[in-house]
Amino acid sequence: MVTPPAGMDVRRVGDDGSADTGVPLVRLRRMSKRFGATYALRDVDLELRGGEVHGLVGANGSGKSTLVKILSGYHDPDPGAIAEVGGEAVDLPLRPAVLDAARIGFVHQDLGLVSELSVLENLWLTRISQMHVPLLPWRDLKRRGAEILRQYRVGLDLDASVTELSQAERALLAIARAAATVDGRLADSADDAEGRNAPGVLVLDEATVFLSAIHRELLRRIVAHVTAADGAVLVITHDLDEAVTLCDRILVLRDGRAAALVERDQADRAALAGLIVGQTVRPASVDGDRPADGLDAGSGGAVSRPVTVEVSGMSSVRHGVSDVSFRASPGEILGFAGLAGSGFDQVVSLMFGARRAEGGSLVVGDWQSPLPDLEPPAAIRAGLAYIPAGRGSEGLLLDLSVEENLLSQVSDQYLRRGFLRHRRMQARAQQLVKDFDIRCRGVEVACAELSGGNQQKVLLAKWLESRPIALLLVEPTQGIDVGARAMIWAKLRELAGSGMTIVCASSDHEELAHLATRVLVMQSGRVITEISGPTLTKTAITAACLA
Amino acid sequence: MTDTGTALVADEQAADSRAVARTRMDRAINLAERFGIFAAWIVVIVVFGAIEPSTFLTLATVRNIVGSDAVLVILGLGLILPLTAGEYDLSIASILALSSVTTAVLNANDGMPIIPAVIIGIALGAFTGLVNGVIMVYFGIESLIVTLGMSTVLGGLVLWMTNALTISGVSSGLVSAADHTIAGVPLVFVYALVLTIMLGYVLHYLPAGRRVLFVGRGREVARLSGVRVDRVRLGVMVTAGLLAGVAGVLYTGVSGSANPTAGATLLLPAFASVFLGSTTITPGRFNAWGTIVAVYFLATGTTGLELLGVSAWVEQLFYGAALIGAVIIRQLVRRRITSGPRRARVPAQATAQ
Repeated sequence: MVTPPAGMDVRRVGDDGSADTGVPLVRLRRMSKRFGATYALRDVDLELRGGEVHGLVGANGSGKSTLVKILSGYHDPDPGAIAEVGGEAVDLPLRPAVLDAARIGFVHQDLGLVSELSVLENLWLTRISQMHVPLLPWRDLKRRGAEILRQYRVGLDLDASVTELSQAERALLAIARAAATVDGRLADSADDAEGRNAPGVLVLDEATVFLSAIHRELLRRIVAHVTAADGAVLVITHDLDEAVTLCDRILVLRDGRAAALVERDQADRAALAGLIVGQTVRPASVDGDRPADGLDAGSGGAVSRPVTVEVSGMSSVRHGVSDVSFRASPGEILGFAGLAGSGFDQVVSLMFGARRAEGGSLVVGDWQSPLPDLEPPAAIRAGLAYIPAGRGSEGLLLDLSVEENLLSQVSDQYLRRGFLRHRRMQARAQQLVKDFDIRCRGVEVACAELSGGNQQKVLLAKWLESRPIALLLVEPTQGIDVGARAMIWAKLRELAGSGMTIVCASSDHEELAHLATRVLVMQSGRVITEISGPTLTKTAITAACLA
Repeated sequence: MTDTGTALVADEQAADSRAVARTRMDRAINLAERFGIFAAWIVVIVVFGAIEPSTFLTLATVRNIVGSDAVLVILGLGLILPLTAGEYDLSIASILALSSVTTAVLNANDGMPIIPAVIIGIALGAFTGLVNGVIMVYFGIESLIVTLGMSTVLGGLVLWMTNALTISGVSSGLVSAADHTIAGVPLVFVYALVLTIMLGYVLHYLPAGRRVLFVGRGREVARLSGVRVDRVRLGVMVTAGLLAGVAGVLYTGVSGSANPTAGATLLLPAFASVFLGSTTITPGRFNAWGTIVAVYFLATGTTGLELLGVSAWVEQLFYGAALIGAVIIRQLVRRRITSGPRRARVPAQATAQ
């Protein structure tokens, strides 16, 4: 059982109403951010008052992370935005010095830890980079580090490397670090910290995804501790229960705009879910929008051998997937959806052997393999193709040419009498560039030169050249322009129409509603819902993810 | 047509002509990159020729350069595959010394016939490469560290085998197999040329060569594309050892003896040549033809300096500067290749995971 951390007062200051008066700690007004032609954020206000827990919820792509990135000074909002910290106007983008002085501590989604360094070094990471001393006072830093971990009841070894920590322990470290920033415990010296008593702001961006119930309780105590000292906490979360129990006010974002600011007494799960998905979202699969099954196979040609792909008992503790089984049939686009950390994307990479599962098996037609033994070469031989989420890190060799990337899976086929037929390869690459509408100055330019959408087309074309019978995709249109997205969607449907089996994990629920014949929704590594037929809409998927 | 329409067309035409200009410019830069080294080479020859016409511009000098540096060409070729796969082999010159000394000791001291001695020398090179590769792959250790350690181990081994003395009295069969000249061209140069052609063929005309390149440019991408990355990494280290073994045996043949300290002086020139070679012929990639050209370009420079009577330390200065210069040019070339007009320059963000 978790006891309240030493010296922490769990009284809620907000209860006596005193914190609602006075100047807000942070106030962001008219925040807009445009990327290209689309607004990620439009005219959103955010006000953090002393003593309050402020929630921020919304679907993927609603602008949550853009707003947080403005608050952390990473993004510069479009002109017209105004920021005030402690009642005084400050320049945008917010500078580190301003954030430091206001004691704003962040737990980012990716936690912001350097895995090769120790717990102690990570704790002091930002501070060390700002210290201008000839010798780092390690003994002092270690003593104060131990104190901080004790204070927040985080039982970690200061000398352990972050690589040795579990996901939950990493989250706790990041939380302790952010809380210590807010408390001023990471200030230049402990005396200094007590002198300045300005209340801080703790920002928790999906900090609880990896935490167990016990750890969540600990986090709640830390939150209470911050608000008790008249500080503010901003909680960005997908977990609506958490938002409802924790927050005094909740800002709901939808499509980059503020959909509502809900007060504590009006907040309940259903109301929030309704606000997040919006009342007016039309089902993406309207009649005529979707080609009839079996038609439209025209240009792609039928798949050589339609197969059923079946996964049974897929488990991996390491990648957060437990006992997932499903079957995808020829011509079907099977979608996977879920929140970050639910394992919906891992399922697809485990199917290809891109990461190693600890249990389960895969059947592709009459070929089968235990998942723990599966390696990409075997998966490829079985007829699978895998389009990963990271175009640059996992999919393409960006500093090699378009041609080399396009034909990387099939170069063996161009070997005649011991020589690669370069002219033929070039011609084929040029043909593919035309077929897939890849915009580039020539097939010999480096892929890095292409826009994200065109890179994604290269990636798709590269794998289709290997004539797969089943296609596995993760976030196939993430971060690319509308035109490329439409083209890739059309291609995927055409492929399904020609009998290919397609499994697609996406956090873009509109995409799944548009493409998939069936969607499996995951939570905590398990499939919890299956959506298909007329109920398969963007709204339904998002609602199921949040359920 | 409306005004805006006309303006748009004019804009497009302007853009077209700019594109043409840029393409022409690109082509010029490309040519300069690929063949600039030949121009530099001619300049070096002309300069030394003007200063030292009686000694530099002679057939003997040419023959000397061609013969003495053929071993360096082969050693450089040995480095190409590991470097293309993103691995360093710092032990390659020590492998050369090991093979050289082993063949000499077996033949001259122990009286073993030359052919088995040569085979054992070369096989030992390949085996050492295999050991490097196995340690890298199975223990997950950086090639840089493994081969740095291996290089010192081999250095010690060679001193032990030779008592730190030069081994002479090697079979004349090996000497003539290396040094015999056909139409003025020493055989060892012919071997170097043949190996250059073979490696150039592997890199350019075989799918295997592409796979090595894929591994070097993105190990994870290569793995997910079905390349057996570990097998490739092991393979390139074995090839490097094999070529170093061949170079070592020929080194013994060329000098008629085996010098236990040979390794130390050849490592840097080999790296300098390969990196300089990667800025030419197919700029941005380690390539066989670039390497052979770079070896002889650098050899021309050092020979010229020697003939001028400059002290031996200048050679070190020269090769060291060539390596650094080559790496800088290589970096510039790669930056140009990967930064196209449409690529947004994103500020590097703190990499924290």
